[in-house]
Amino acid sequence: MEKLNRKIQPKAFSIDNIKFNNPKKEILENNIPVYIFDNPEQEFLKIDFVFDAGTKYQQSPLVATITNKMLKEGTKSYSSIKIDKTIDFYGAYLILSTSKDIATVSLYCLNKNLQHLLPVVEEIIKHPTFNKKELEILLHKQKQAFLLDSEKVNVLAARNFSKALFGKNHNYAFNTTLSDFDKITQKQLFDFYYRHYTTNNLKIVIAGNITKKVKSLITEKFSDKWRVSVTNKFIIHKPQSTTNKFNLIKKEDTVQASIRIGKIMFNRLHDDYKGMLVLNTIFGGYFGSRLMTNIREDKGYTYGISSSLISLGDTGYFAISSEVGKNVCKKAINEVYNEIKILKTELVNKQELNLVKNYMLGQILRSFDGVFSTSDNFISLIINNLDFDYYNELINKIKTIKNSEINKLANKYLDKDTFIEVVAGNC
Amino acid sequence: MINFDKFKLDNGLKVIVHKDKTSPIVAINILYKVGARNENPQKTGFAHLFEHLMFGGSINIPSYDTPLQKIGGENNAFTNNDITNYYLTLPKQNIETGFWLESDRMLSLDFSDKSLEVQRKVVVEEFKQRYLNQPYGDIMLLLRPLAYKKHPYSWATIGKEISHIENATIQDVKDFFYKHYAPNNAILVVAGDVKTNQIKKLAEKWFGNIENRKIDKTKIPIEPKQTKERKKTVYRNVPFNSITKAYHMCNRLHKDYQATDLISDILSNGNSSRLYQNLVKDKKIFTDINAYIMGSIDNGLFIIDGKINNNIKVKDAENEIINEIENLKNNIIDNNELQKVKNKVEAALKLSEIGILNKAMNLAFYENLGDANLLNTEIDKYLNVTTKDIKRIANNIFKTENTSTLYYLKKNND
Repeated sequence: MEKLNRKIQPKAFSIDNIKFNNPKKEILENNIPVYIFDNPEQEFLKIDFVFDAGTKYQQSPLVATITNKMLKEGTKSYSSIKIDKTIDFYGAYLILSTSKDIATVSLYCLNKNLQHLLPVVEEIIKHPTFNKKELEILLHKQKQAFLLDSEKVNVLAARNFSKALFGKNHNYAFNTTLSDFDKITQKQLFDFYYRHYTTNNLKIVIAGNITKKVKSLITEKFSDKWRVSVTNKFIIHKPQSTTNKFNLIKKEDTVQASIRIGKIMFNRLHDDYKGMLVLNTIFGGYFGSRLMTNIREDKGYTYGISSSLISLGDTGYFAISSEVGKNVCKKAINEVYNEIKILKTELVNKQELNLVKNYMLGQILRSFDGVFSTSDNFISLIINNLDFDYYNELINKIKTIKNSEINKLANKYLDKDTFIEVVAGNC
Repeated sequence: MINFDKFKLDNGLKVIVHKDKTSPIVAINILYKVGARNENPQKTGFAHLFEHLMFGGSINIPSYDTPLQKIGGENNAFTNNDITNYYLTLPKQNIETGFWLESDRMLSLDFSDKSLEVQRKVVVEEFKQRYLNQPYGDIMLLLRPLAYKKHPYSWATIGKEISHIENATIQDVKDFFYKHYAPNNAILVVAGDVKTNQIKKLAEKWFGNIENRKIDKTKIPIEPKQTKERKKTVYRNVPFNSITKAYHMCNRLHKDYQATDLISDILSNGNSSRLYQNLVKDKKIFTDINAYIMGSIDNGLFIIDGKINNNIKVKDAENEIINEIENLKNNIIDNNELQKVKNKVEAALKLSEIGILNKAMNLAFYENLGDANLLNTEIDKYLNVTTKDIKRIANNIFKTENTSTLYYLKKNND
């Protein structure tokens, strides 16, 4: 037997086996597109109803989120408790969620139970009643949750960062206050619902064992012309970031400060997005990133620090976030800028660049493991009207990008003076 | 049904292989049978601190993460009161790098002073971020020592106090390693598009020559039966009063475990559950309330934890919880309600079989309980629970003298 040399890493093979196909697309009679990710081996099914009904469309705070949450609190034929009982009895998960751009109704269930559950989901989507008593209960609960969240420095930092970044009245800015929970009316919810929860604002994405029966159930329940809205072109203004560089939200007796540093950037549709994604990974996008290596693994200031490039429907932003001990807050911020300076002045060495390239390819490989994560990937692209061709281009970019381009991007976009800093806690 | 092959190396390392041809990813999971329950009461938080140090370089490899990231892999780990679990996923063509990395840190760490110094600080920040700087973040830190007087479940994984972590020395770290980290105290699971023979060869090659070690077999003290109700009150800067009740329950392998779990589901799994419907929606006593079991290997805790609406008296809220419990003790539950929670468990178990990493972790977890195949028989244990079992166990657990209650109240409360 040959002697084992533990000092040398086993031979590494390149990652060329990333396989993904765009979903099969079918169109219902009422023009709703249905995207299908089929895996006949799987007993579990996931159906996402994706509406253009995110918070950016709301006229006043909370309306989009509460409309979405209220869908399952009573419909024409089912009471709230009846809906809860049915979902629970069949071991299903019904998840309602609202982001800045979209609102979704997601059903996870065993294939064999779909026939019992889809009629409920149909009612939730087509005939919610926004029952006043249920609304009162929900608002009370949400208000308590809001109060609780307001005690958390990371939440305070995130909320205020969003306002500072987009401008207080921008569609993408967080703008809820406690009194908003007392102002929401049933009429507002109906108005929002009629405008946004319509056939022409809906995409259906299904993943799992998509049998003929599954398809026919969906066709039966969702192909009629249940509601069409007039499509007004949605106009969104340019973000107006604050001119205050440093914004402190003071909170006494906290042992850590929550930091956000960032600026408006762009979304996936921009030419430089993919290159910036590589830059972001190097900088703060993975466990071995420069921010983590310096600020956690070398200095021990924090449990974690990361940067991210967020793609929204109409714009995007770049953000660094961390919770750090309050006495090292200023030092941590300085180190962030030091790392930015290094990116701008020194070329990333080949070893590090290759590592990041392979890491990113591995991440993409993982994100296409199984139909559920594949469909999640697809939904995240919907807001930018992209499909998986985007990933082909991204993989190509990752494989070909050179350190000179990273350096150029750093100098083009990471000007210290353009960053806004928000800290909640003590600093 | 999750199929697997199982074998053991001469040094005692157990290896489990699960084949899934559909995935381009391989998952490797290594479970070490050491958790916070194995700690010295004067040096708590050690198992978890140690988990951090396992990433600080091993005897032949200066950095764990770099070579793994270089071949497109990713990893993480967690520590709880019973086990420390390390897991990684990597492109299947690069599986050998996983064996190389994991075997070297099982062989020996490099015990670097710098790594210890930094990770002490990182863990202290984690302590603050997760437990001290969150509203209600220290509830479990307070509840555990109230409920456990002898058993080491009386402290949380993060440790009793920050000073235990701050005072850790490199000698402590070495001692801990050689007492607990060894092939004969670990379970290796590989899941993905692999062959059992291939894994046998790789396991022999990389782990085969690591010597087995003398594992610390210090008996874990048994928690004496609680005979008197315990109460503790603290005041904090929080928006609502909160109440947490803990009841001692059976261990993970006891025949009543699954039925006890179902009781917690009846009370609070899903929006149709009793506590949510009755106490949050109808009576508006709580803004949020949960019942759950700890799932620990040794005798565990059944916990009910609620945040009280500001217009409700703490005593009244507590009585409402007790009413719900009395109801379970005095009445046989409806068959339909039992069927509901069984259906939920069945679906949740099926859902947890999706994904290569989930399967690897589950196999390791059940092998640690005694046999990986318990994963496949778990569902039957739930399905066999009867309405009578529910009533019997509710009467066993929910006794006043078996209760520890933590009142976590707003400062300046009247």
